[in-house]
Amino acid sequence: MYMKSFWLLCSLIAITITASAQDNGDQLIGLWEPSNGKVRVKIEKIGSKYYGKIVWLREPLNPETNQPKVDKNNPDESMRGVPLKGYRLLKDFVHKNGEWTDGTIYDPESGSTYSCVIKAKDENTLDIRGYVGVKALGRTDVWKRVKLK
Amino acid sequence: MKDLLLLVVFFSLFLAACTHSEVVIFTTGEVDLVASGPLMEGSNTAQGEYQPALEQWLKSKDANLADLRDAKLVKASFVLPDSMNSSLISEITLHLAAENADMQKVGVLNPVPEGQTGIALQIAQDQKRIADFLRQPNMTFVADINIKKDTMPDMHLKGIFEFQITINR
Repeated sequence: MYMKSFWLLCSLIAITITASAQDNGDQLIGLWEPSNGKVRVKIEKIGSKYYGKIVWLREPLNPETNQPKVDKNNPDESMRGVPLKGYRLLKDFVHKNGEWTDGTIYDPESGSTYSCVIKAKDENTLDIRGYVGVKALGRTDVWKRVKLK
Repeated sequence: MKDLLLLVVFFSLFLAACTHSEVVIFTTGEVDLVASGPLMEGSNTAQGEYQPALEQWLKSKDANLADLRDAKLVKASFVLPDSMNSSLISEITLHLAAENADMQKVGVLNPVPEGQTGIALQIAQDQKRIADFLRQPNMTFVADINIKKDTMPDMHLKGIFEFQITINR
């Protein structure tokens, strides 16, 4: 009777730990705003990886054309018509060892893609570090979760 | 040294002459991409899982996965359900996603012409390692759709995708 209860307790603890590990990865899911406030990015899960796309722009129109902004600096000319609203900024992040790695971040202002790692400072704050080659050669931005009313 | 260099050049030319490649077209058939409602005005995501089963298809061409050299998406089209037409959609961008491959943007249509029940996307010129997606047991077609107004029900898009595949012979 005692042994049965003991093993039941161990199983429950194991299930809880596993569930927590999965939940921590999904902590990234939601709506986030970079420090410059120019965009809001919705992060979602596709398969087992995390992706983020722009869902709101502070200035959605190109002042020169008065049309919605597009990815005019993309190195692939055939893709320069892709609208920035809905643009996949963050790609292919995998949750490992308490951070989200192996992903990339795209900068529409330069048309450049950087390697990227994301860490959660707390439930509502992310450190997003874009870098070239090694993490030491990069820049960190702090993103805040946007809570919908 | 000069002789060695000549030998290397000759050997490379010999190898190139012995192997040749064949280009074949692989069509997915209908893939159902679903955006779960309620859908809000703005950016929404429709996804459709697909099992390439390329190994079986290559066998019918007297080839196998090891012979797969390269692949490129050449056509992407969507059929919209009877209950709606393209007037609800302002832009659509298509990506490929898979467990062991980096997501790639492969097509766009901006703006989407109004009043259509079928739409064809402009295909990306710059595509890298598309074969990696087709080698996997599962891949996902991801369509980012900007819609013009809130709509309640799920949105189903039937996608048909054509790949140009290069096989070593």
